[in-house]
Parts: sequence; C-alpha cells; structure tokens
Amino acid sequence: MNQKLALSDDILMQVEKPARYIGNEYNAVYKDLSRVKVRFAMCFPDVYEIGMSHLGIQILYDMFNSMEDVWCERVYSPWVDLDRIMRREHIPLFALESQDPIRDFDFLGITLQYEMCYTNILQVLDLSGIPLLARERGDESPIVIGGGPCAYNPEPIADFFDLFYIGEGETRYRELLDLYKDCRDRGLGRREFLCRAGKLPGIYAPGFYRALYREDGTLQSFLPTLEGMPRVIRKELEPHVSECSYPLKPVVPYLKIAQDRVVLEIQRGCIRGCRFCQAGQLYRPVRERDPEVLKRYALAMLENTGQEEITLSSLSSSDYSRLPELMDFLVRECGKKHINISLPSLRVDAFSLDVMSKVQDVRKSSLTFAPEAGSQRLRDVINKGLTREDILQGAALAFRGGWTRVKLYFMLGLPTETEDDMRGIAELSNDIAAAFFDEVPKDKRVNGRVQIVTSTSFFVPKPFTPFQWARQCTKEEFLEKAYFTRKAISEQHNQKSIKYNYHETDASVLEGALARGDRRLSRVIQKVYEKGCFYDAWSEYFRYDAWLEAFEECGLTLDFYTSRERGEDELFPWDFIDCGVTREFLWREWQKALEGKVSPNCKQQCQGCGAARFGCGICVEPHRENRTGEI
Amino acid sequence: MKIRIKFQKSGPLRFIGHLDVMRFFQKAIRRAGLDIVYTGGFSPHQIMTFAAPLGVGLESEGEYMDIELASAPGSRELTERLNAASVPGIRILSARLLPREAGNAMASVAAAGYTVCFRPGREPEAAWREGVEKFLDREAIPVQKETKKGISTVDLRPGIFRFSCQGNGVYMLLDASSAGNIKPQTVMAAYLESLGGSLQENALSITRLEIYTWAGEAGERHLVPLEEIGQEIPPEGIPGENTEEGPGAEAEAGDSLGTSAAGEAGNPPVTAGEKPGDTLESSLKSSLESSLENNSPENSAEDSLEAPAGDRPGDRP
Repeated sequence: MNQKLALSDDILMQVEKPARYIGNEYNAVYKDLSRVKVRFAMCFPDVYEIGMSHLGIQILYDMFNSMEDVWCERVYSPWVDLDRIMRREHIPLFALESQDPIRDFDFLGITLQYEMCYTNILQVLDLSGIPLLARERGDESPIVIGGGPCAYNPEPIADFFDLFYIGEGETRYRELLDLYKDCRDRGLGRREFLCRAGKLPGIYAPGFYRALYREDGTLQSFLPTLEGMPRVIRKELEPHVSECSYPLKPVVPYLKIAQDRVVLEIQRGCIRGCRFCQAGQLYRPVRERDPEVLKRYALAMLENTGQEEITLSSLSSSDYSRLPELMDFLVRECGKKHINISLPSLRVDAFSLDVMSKVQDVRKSSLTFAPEAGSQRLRDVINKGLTREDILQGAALAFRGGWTRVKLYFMLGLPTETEDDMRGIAELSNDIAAAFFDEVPKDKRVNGRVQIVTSTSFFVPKPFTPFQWARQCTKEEFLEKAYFTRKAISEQHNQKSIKYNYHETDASVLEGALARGDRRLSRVIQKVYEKGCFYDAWSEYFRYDAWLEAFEECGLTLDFYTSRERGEDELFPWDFIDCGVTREFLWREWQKALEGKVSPNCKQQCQGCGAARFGCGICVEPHRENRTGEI
Repeated sequence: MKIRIKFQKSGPLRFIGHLDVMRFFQKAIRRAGLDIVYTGGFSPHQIMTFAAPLGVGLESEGEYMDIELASAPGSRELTERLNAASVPGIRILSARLLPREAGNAMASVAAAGYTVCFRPGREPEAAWREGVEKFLDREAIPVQKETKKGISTVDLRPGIFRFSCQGNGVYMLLDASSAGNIKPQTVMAAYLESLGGSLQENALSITRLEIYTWAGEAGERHLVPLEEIGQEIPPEGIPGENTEEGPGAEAEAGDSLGTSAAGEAGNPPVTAGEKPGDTLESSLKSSLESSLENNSPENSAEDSLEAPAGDRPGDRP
C-alpha cells in the first residue's frame, strides 16, 4: 500500500467522495521506482466513476504494467470541488498509485471517448502544470499522447497533443516506448523523439503537419512539413484477438462506479454497417474471440475481482456466432456463484428472451429496442436491418413472457427525414402498446398496463461514416422535430402508455461541430476553457453561450461545421487517416442511402469496404452460420 | 452459522466510506471463496451485518461485522484467507463463531473506545487538560443537535463512560448504542467549550480502538469487546450440511452445527471472567470513577496514547 497521499486530510475531508483520489484499490499496480524506466500516466478526462468504468483503460493499464520497465498509473479529472481547491492552493495534479505529480511522468496518455470531454483535457494539462499548447512544451514536460475513437479526427485538439495513436493500442506501444528510451539515453531531446515517433506506423505527430484553407473556409491541403513524415496514417489493428493480452485482474474500485462489473469483450467490430454508426466502420473487420478463451477469462476475472456481475461487451452481441454456447456456460457457472449476468443490448427474439428470463427478474427489467428511425423507409436509409415485424414479434413474445416495460431508441434529424418518418416513431410506439393489449388478457396484466418509454437523440454525423457528407440540423430544427414528435405521440390511441424523452439540443449541435471540426477549433476550445468551462459532458456545467462566444471571437461559426452541405470532393480534416474503410466505399454507401437502398451485412455478402486488407477476422474466416439465420 | 469478523482500517483507507467498506467486503468474501449464505430472490445478497458505521476520516483498530456461513474453515485459516483477499489498509484481526443466541453485531453495540488527538498546530490554546474533573462532575452536559426536524437538545453526560487525558489527546469511552450514540468530536467540542474555548475545524485525528457490548447478569453488567462473545473455530473447521438447497435450509443447518461445535468445545459464550485482563471495569459507575483516577496530567504523560491496559483487549498476552 502507498501510505502517501497527495492531498491533505483537510482537503480530503472537504471534498465530495475522497475515495476518488486515494488509489490503493484492489489489483491496483505498485512498482519499485528504481526498476522502472518509463512512467506512464493513463488519463480518462472525466470523473473517476466514469473513467474507471472504461474497459480500454483497463486493457492498456494491464498491458503496460505487464512490461517490466514500465509503470502505468491512472489519473482522472478532479471533480469541480477539488479542482477549485487545487487551483487556489497550487496543488499539482497527481497519479492515483504513486500520488506523484503528473508533470514528472514520461508520458501522459489521454483516452478520447467523446467530443464533450475536450475541455477536460485542458483541465488535466493545466492542473498538471503542463503547457496547454504542445509547441510550448520543453524537454521537462511529459509526452502527451491521445488515443481512442475521437483520435480518428484529432484535428480539433491537435494543438494540445504531441502525438496521437491511431487505432487499437495492443500493437505499437512497445515500439514507441523503446524509441523513447533510446532517444532519452542518447540525449536527443523532445523534438527529435517526436519526429522519429511520427514515422512509426499508427503514430501521428500533429506538430509536423500544416493545414491550408480556401477562402470559403474548407480545407485546401493537409501535408507534412517535414521530409519523411507519412502523408497518410493507417490505423493499427490487433489481428489476433484471442491471443492478445486481456486484463484478468482489473482494478476493483471502492466507490460505486458507472459500470461496476466484470467486462468480457467477446468480439471487436461489427458486421452490420449501420450508416450513422462510427464504431461500426472504425473497428472493421469483425474479429470474434474464441469461446474457450472467453470462458477462461470470465472465471479468472470473477475470481480475481470478487465482482458480483459480469457483462458481455461488443457492438452487437447477437451477431457473435458462439453466443448460445457462451451464454449456457455463463448461466450455469454464475448461477452457482450468485453472480448476475447483465445483458448487453441483444436482438429481441426467442433465444434472447429465454436467456433474459433466466438471468433477470422479468417483472423488474425492461426490454430495449433500437429501431433508430420511425419508418421502414428511413430505416433502409440508415441500413438498420430491423423491420417493423421483427419489433412487433419480439415485443409480442416478450409480453407473453411477462415483460411489461419497453424502451425504444430513435434518432431525429437523420438525412432525408420527413414528417412521416417522425410520425412513424409515434405509430410504432403505439403499435407496441397495442400488441400488449392484444397479447395479454385483462386478468393477466400484472401492473394493469404497459409502459413504453420512447427516447429520441439528435443525429450527429461522424467522420468515417457514409453520413460524413451529410448536413446536420440546426438547434431550431432539432427543437421543432422534438415538438412534432411529442405532438404525434400525444395523438396516439395508446398515448397514456407512452412516455417521451428527448436529448438536449445544444450539446448535440456542439458535438457535431467538434466531431467534424478542423485544426482551427483548438483555439475555440482553449478560449472556452479560459472562460472557465469544463465538464461539458455534464449538462449542469455545459455553457452553450460561452461556446458561441468563443466561436465568434475566433471568427468561426458553428453552422460551417454542422449544417453546411459537403460536396463529394471536399477534403476533410480527417482524410489523412486511413481507417481501413475507403472513402469510395463510404461515398457509395452515402449514395445508396439517398436512394433508400440497404446493403447486406458482412456475413451475407462482402461490400468491398477495404478492411479486407488487414487480412483477418470475417474477411478471411469461413462464415459460421448464425443461430437465427439472417434478417 | 454466524461468524464475527474483527478488522482494522488504517492509512489512506480512512477515506473510504461505510457503504464502500461493505461493498469491499462483499467482493473480498467472494475472492476468499468463503461459503457465505445468500438471501433468496432475484437479487440475492450476502448475509452480513456491520456493528457500527465508522465516519469518513477515522481509522480503527476494532471494526466488526457478522457474516453467515454455511460451512467454515478454522478461525486462523478464515482470517488468513480474508487477509489474502484484502488490501493492506484493511486487515482482518479475528474470526470467531458466535453462539446461536447472540444478538447481531449492530444490535449488540453498547460502547466504543476512541483516542482523540489534536492535529499538529490545532491544539486548543487554553491549558486544556485542566478541566476534566469539573467537566465530568456536571449533572448534565446539554448540547444542541441538528436533526431533520430542527434543533434539539441532547444530554451527553450519561453517554460518556470514560474521558481521560493522554499525551496529545484524550481516551474516550462513549455510548455507541443505536439509541444513544454520541460522537467523540461532539464530546471534545463540549469539553473545550466548558473551558471557554472552542474546537477548530478538522482539528481532531480520531482512532476507534474497540467496540463493546454488555455482558453479565443484570446488576453486574460489564462491557466486553464484541469479539469476546464468539469463540475460536478449531483448525479442522465446521463442515456444512449438503442436504437441501436454498438459503433458508443452509442457514439453519449452519446454525445447529455452530451450536453443537460450541457445545463440544464445552464453552458457553466466553465471558469476562475467563479473560480478566481483557475486560473493562464492571459497570458504568466504576468506569466513571476510574476515568477520574486516570485523569491526572502526570499519569497521561506516561501513558502516552495508550489506553489503560484494561481497555485494550488487542493487547492480550
């Protein structure tokens, strides 16, 4: 145990949840500093309970700490109460394990999971005493490296990072750290290291690139400023998912965190190709883990953590070809040990309902459908292979099985959306309620009625999706759509059984600007931070007006990034990244979307997306027949 | 069968709240592979009761929880297995089998002993050791207490069983029962106020030393540490009965086994008489008297932070 604490008792007694800052959790890794050559601080720029719930950090923490010469520690955003105290008393941000200041580390790795955390990156740098701008850092500052899904368009935060790691972390970090040690031993200095790192596969060193813009604000060119720097950075990918390292001893927090359970990642990637989904494109090709390996992992992790719940992680668990076998095993093993199985969103069918009824209390749990769009036409546009019949049949089965609560997720503002599509949301919700009254006779209705919760979020186009060319709605349009949907629901026969929620409009608009933004947004983000904004992902701290001001002060507009139509030939800020899926494929999909044509999934027929060049996963393996056949 | 676990909580873990400690033990018990009994239903939980929540920021030498096991290894193995599944800041000190009729940890709590020290630089200005006798001679020590309904007045005096100066701090033995629990910081604030001073913010560093329950017949009641109610489980342990499935059946089987094991060992619930060195003064009244005796500054200096030997069952030979 580390007895040392970076914060005094006075401070720890003042702040909410001091357990966020003291480390010493079960399975936290402590090392003898005299034998450590590289100190790596791994940061999730949000509060502890969110950051600790993230599987990616546990994977990298485990991988780094399995290296003898590396000590990887964790750091999260201090909550606003501690943030105030640290600024007032000039306390530098520290890592949880050693409680040592971050500024003394060799690396600060920051995972980029959502755009709304960008101001928290600046909070972390600022509290650490590291210059916000990469170009102002000297040899004494840690190397600041970003990774994760938002690193696929790193441009809006390019000024704050020395390096970005593009793709899955399992493959190149060893090389990067060896290069670092080598440069340090030879006294080569920061710039020289970054210059060499930028030539490693998968590593992007933004300081060696320059963006030029046309008069209309669009990107004219994006090129390296240094001989030998790659013009295109290809994402890294772990081809052998059953053999790579996996955290069998994840850190067990004291606090109740957002995802307080063992997480079993059953596959990477997704066969579906929903056109709005970024993850579905970024993580291609789909690679399944060997079920025998997963069974071993599950038992080891439960034993090593004492967690009482396990969950499966993947983009679409129903598509995992060995799911029945794995679920049988888990239900059997977990039943003996009083361990809950929390189910990820499975396609609702006879199989999943059977599994769910075994592991959940039917009366208390709710079923979730994500039709995403209200009409079949619009579901075809987004390539969501879920039909009205699938949904109604699934709901009918569920109602007969005793479920009375259903959650429905939709998006508003999808490309080509009309009033009919929005009305479709109301009608589908109504039809599901009607199915309950048809299926369940009066005397068997446990709570008397059915509860449908219909939620809509606002569609945000993301890079590397067929919708990267699409126009995003304005705030006003979003609001109108939400009101229209609410009214349409109130006109339904079963409206008393339907509850309607919609997401915040402001945050969706800003998320859109940051997602498809360019390098000029770094200045906007810095200005907003200097106005005192961070924790933008928390609605109570998000200040839309401050963001609007900052855009204006930088001579930029939100509309340029969000509601502008983009042409076929426009050069995008993220085009220098090769994520495996080609731009030609994405354009083809965009055109098919506009024609309302669906594309078959990877198991049905290869669409030539480009990911086959990785030579692994579904692109090379014989396709196993899925249990339910294909829709 | 019911097992009483005594543990220590120290170092940085003083900042882990009570609910988090409970969650910690639920996981540690799984890691240790103990045969704990679960409640029924769709969200089964381990049968586990804590004696008295410890405030955030306090360390403790003597925390307690009772757990229900279907089968149990010997006390020593149980302690070792739990320690192997624990973190350094939470150390299991003992694991003892409770007699069937014993009340649960929470209901049994009568009193708790604390050392209360001033943090460096936050000692009161006045000659603060000088007023103990006068403080304890008072018929009543009323203090204002904020409750959900507003402010009410509580008399601290009946709940102060012992209050003696030692070195930089005070040893206190206070009522910790559910009806009359009082906090050491409240008592210290009242004491300093009686001297015309006041307690600075976050001035105290508090360690709970032990939690006690009443033992003995009416009229001869005395306080004993909670662990004294239980007894050692022999090294061979106590097997479970594999008759029926279900928590209810397991619990009963465990209970009867527990009792018979206790019978074999020939020990009724351990009482003060068998371990004279471990028990406290025999009644509330004598506690008070002795606290007065122990109260002189000279005495305190010698004793340093140690409580009088009789108050420290942890010190047993």
